[in-house]
Amino acid sequence: MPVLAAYVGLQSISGLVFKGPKDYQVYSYPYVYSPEAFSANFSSSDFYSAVFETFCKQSGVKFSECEVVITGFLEPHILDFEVNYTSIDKALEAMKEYNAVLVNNYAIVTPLGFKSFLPLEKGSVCGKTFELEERNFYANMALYPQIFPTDMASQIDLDSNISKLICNTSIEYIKDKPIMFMGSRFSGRKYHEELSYLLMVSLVRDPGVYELKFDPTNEHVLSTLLKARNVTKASMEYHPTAVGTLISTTGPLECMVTTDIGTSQVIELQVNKLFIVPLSEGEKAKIVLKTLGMDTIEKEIFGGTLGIIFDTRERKEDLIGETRVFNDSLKIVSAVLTGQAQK
Amino acid sequence: MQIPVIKKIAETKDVYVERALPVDGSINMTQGSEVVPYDAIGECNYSHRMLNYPKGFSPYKYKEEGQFYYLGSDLGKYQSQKVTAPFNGNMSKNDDGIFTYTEVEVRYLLLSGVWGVIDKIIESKSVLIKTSMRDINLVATTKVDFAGELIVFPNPSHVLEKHYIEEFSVEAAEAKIVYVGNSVDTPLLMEAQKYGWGGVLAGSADKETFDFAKANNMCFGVFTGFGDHPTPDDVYDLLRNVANRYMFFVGEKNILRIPVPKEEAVQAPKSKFAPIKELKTGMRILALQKPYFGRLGSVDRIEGSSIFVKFDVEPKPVEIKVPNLYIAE
Repeated sequence: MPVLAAYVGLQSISGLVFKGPKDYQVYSYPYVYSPEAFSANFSSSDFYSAVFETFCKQSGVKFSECEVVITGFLEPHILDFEVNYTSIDKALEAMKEYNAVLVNNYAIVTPLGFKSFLPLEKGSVCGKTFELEERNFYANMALYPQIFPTDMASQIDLDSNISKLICNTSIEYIKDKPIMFMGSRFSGRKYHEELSYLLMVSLVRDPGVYELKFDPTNEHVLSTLLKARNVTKASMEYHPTAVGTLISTTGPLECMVTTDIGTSQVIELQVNKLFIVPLSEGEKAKIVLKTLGMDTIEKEIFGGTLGIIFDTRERKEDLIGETRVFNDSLKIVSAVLTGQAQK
Repeated sequence: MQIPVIKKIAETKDVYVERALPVDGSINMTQGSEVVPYDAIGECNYSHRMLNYPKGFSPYKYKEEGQFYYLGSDLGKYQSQKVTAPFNGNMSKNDDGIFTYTEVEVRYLLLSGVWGVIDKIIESKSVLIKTSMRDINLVATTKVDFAGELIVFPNPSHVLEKHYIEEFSVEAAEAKIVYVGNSVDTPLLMEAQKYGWGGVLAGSADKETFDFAKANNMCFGVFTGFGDHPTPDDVYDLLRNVANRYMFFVGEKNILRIPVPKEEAVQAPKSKFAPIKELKTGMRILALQKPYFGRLGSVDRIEGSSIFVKFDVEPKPVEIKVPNLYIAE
């Protein structure tokens, strides 16, 4: 029996149609059900079954013949067709090989718990009160959950509010495991991509060396759902997108980077800087890192879309709040993404 | 590309509407009778208004429970201020010492409000009418139910001048549902409350204006969203065509129900409504992206997730990005 696994987020849907080992497809749909806009004409069950039928049709199976497993944020939608539900915290807990971080416009969820805010109720996050336009945008997002701002300034405001969710604390990451970012904030669309990467950096507050990855289709959540249903997945080749390695210190650093092909360079960086050394996905490098307050670190690290990201900000708070560093970082990340930086 | 379909106006046949008297009275209809909106289907004697005066209020020459006062006569004093009777009514003292002033009962006529057939009668209380409706989707509403005559203001791009509203309000809008234009602000809602409007509709409002309506339990709804966005053209055209008609604001269901006569009722399609459809050139869409938020346009061309849309207000097609749009039917 084919299996359809679905993650229904706050802004978008991800689906995986599993027909057998090495025979599965992953889909994204950038909309979710809006009761305010649709309830006069159709129900959430009508909507989700239409979306799931589309996924199945593209995979050449009948939706009516699929076993459906579903999760969502915060809780999966209750639908009037036969569905097996799994809560998102259980799905995240099952991702043992990563530090799983699920992010949407209202919450950050990890296996250790979640931080969220109600912009319409409180009108503020971490002491920052929303402007009228921001309140209206959040209110519209409650009506039309999928919408996103096309102007960069508004997206920066949204990201800043997400980042402020963790206020002056930090998310506890297990250092030997890569950090995997997923959820509606990172799935589907590719607009203002540089902001997505800077948000990831902003969500790592403790000094250390971290491998960063992200899952644009929430495929890992979906494969975890299959695993929970004991559906074989031995042959599923799961490849999240590698962002690179984040080297985070709270002061100046010196770092010797030696690549696979034997080239070496020494990076010396002052405090309160963000700098990137491009290192492509699949490439490795060895680093020798010296900084105040940390023992010398010698480590093999991995490249990715960005490469090696150095963050020497003394106070690890919301990156967007540090205007000068943020503006410089934006230029650097944009340059790396557009390939202007010399690789 | 499959895009969700939004239908702002929906035809609903065989809808049952309950029309109830506020207190027991008499029903003047029989089961199976046909009715039109201004048919008086029942009547009762009913006191419309009641005021509770705060502690410290001292009534003038109050001698007995239910004492009568004429409109404009001395009613009493509160904090050294003279209070005059706002209507003909009776004063009574409650157990907690607070005085309640109740308007004298007047004859209340229950109108049908719809075109339809009386399906069921609950003696002395209410009737159930089988009718046809045209439902307009309101994306944000206060959870209030209200029925009243619709007044439609012009659809200006800016808020109407206050004095015009004041002039109009005093004369004509009491207990009616008023469509005020593309947007509404808090001062206008305050005016509406002051003059006893039954309900307020607009294309959009700021979140704080909506919160004001909610906090004051006003009957209030917007068609497009929050901020300053236009009412979709087809919604405005429909409202204009049914001005002065009796209608039903159903806050819980996010709809404004407009009764339609039998001959105007459109046969609902037999096939089930498709929630998502393949987007094609020429289709109408509702844009949800600034500065075209709330505007209807037609698809000129599709380039991946960039949809180029023709709007009446723009000479050239404009790029709207998926998912900032719905197909509009």
